[in-house]
Amino acid sequence: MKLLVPALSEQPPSAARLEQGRWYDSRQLLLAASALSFFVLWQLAVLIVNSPYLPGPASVGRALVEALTQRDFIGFTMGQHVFSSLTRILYGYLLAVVIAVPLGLLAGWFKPLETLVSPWIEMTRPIPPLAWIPFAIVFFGSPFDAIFIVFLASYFPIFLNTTTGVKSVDSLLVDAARTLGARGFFLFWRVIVPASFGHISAGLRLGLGYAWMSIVAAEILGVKGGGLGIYLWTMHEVGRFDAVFAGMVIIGVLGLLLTRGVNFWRVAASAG
Amino acid sequence: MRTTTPDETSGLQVASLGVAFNGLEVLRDLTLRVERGEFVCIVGPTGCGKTTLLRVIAGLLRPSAGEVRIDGAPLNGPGHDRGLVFQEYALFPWLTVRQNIAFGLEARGAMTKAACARAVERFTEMVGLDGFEDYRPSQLSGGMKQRVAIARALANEPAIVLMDEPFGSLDSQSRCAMQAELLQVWGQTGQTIVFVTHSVEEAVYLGNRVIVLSARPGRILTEIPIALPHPRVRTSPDFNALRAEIMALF
Amino acid sequence: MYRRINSCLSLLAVLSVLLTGCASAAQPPKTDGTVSVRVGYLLADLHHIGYLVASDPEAGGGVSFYEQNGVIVQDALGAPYANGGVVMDHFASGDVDIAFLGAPPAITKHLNAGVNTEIVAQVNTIGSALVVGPDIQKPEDLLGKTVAVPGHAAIQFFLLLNFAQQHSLDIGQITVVDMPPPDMRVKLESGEISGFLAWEPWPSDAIVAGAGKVMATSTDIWPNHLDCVLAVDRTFAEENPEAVRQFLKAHIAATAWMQDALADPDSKEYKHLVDLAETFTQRDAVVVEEAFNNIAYQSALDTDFLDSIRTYTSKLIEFGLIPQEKLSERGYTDPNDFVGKYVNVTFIEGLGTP
Repeated sequence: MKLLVPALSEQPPSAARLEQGRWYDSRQLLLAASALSFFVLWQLAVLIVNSPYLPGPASVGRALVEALTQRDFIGFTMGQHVFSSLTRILYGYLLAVVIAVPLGLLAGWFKPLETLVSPWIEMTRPIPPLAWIPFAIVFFGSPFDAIFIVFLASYFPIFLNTTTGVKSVDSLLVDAARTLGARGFFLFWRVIVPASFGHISAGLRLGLGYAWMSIVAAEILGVKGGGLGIYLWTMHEVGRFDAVFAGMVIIGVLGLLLTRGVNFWRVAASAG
Repeated sequence: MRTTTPDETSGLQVASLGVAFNGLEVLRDLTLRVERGEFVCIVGPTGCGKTTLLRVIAGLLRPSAGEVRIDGAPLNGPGHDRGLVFQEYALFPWLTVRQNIAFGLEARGAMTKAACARAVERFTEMVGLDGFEDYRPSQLSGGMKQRVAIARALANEPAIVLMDEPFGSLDSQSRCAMQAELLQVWGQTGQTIVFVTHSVEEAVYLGNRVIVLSARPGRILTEIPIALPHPRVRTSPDFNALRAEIMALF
Repeated sequence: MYRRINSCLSLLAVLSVLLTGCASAAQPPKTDGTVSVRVGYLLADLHHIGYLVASDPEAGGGVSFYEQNGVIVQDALGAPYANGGVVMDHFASGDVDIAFLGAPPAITKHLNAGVNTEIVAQVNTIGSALVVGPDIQKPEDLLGKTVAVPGHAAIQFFLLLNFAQQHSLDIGQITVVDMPPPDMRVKLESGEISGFLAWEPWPSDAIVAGAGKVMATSTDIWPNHLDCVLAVDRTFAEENPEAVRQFLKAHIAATAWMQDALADPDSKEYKHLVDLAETFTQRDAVVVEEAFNNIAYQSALDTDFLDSIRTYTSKLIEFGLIPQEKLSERGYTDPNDFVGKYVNVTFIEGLGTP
């Protein structure tokens, strides 16, 4: 028996509509204006401060071209630096994800486990990952010492967000699932985990950010194969601040691309 | 040798049920029996504890006093034998309409994939959502979400179907259609249905017994059997007499 | 309430007077011709022992060379420093008036970062070595291994680049890490690093302890190479030319004293110098005496010196530590022009250099 089909929920209104053609409605224009003002302010600051320790956009631009086209005196191309840092970040971060997500899910679900684990977490969390560097160098050696630091830096936000995610699953959904006969592992895997996904992905994003921040400092202590941290540190040592800023630009762009990439994957996964 | 009457312990038995939250008494000394295969409607003023009663029967809530038994056995938490259509829909937002409806069947793993798909198709059609199988709950209107909730509960074929104002978000035309569908399903399956509504007319149209709850703390004011044959005529004098009788109690 | 404000204001007034008093106490007082100079130098670097010698009353024959020339010295803020690059950073932040440091960092950070210094005297030639562990037999063995230097701006890294070039080694395949030289022997023994290039007495320290062997002294890498120089903050030099001259007089006298002492190992001056060195580096006499064999102290700004500065500049540009454009950016037309302007011979002229 066919019934009348009611209307679908409406599309959410878009803030980027160019309907009226107002210039401040255009997202593109606003972004361009923001970027332009950044460069203007930077150049202004350079003129005011007037010190080689604060290079201007032009010299940083030149250093950027040099970094991307030539081998530096450390013996690497920028491509090699980026590759080395990215692989270390990837290994450390993935290791953290693989351990922290399951552990976080279980700790959120089983209170006794959380109670068992929480003193360890609470005591190690405040320690800055960099404080572990001497320990890491002696016990792990290159390149695992840098990977270990990245692991430590990304572990805690992933674990804690996952646990919170589990604990904040809407009890109504759990009730519904149970009245449909879901129990035990099925309930955990098919309801708790998907319902926590929002928190988990927030933790994953945070963890990735921390991983990036820690890699530069972790590499300064010396790892084989170069790296962005090594590039930044060595360039600063010889006074090449234009190159230091160029390195920072590269890190910023890479970080942006990585976040965009993760977001894209997230959207694609949930739509599929 | 004492013979126990066959229907003395069968069906749903609620005995002197009492439920209180933080000192607020919601249900007091409520006793109710529902035979297997009965279609019982519960009406009552707002806040009288209708939803609470359903949650206790579903096993989601522990009573502070009294007990609930199914076929003589006491309750032990929720289970697929008591399906609940939530007033708030409670759909799984990360699943499509199809996946939501199939959820209970997958949880039990009792059917083959093909049988499962057929069941899902049947109930999707029944609630008039064919064509929307791949939509997410966020893309549906309130009325459509409610229909998914109904389909999801019914598809799981629970022995007892608990329905909490399931047609509240539908327009009157859809509502009438869904009432007819529900009666048809009930006629085929013989499931026990406990149906909560604030519409007396709906209660009289659907149930073979209407139970009237008092204001908070809720207890049974009276039970009125509806002996009219199906399909019932809303404009008939018998129908309206029963309606008037019940409304007089409010 | 007004009483509260009044007492707060009085307290602030008192505090600000105290603070200004303290601040002015830190400035070099310019009374009766004696000037206070803030001196930068490197941690346990035997090249810079001249600083201690010139401060020592016994070496000066009763009154230290600095005192004889009316110079009051004090360690600059944060001295002794980890490497020459750090010395230049402290020049830039205004903590240092005169410093002992390697020629390469004095060149590199002036050209790259515009640190406002100039060179006014020589300190020593040679005096470093590449020490390697048991797993290294020939230069190629260093590929894939880790070598420690005091810093990437330091002459030791420059020497390592030269060494790698001479033996056709790809520096990218050698992991170069920074650490203070006192840490290097321990790391070599534990195998964390396979070699290090550091200033004396640390190579000798490792040899005497049997922790490693010398693969190349810095003389092997670059015969008779210029090592450390005296650099001065240009503003300080312009405002206190007399103080710079006095400091240089003391430096020349101390350098001469050390040359004499080292020429005669039986003299009591030699023994005293060894004592001073033991204090300065916290190493035993055996190590220090071995180290002295590898250093030559001099103070003159002769043609050899100027040639060295020019060659170093070209080499640093060749290795890529200094981009070619930096010369013109800082206002020099070529390395010759740079040497002419960056090495200031006017202070040391006529002071009688040994």
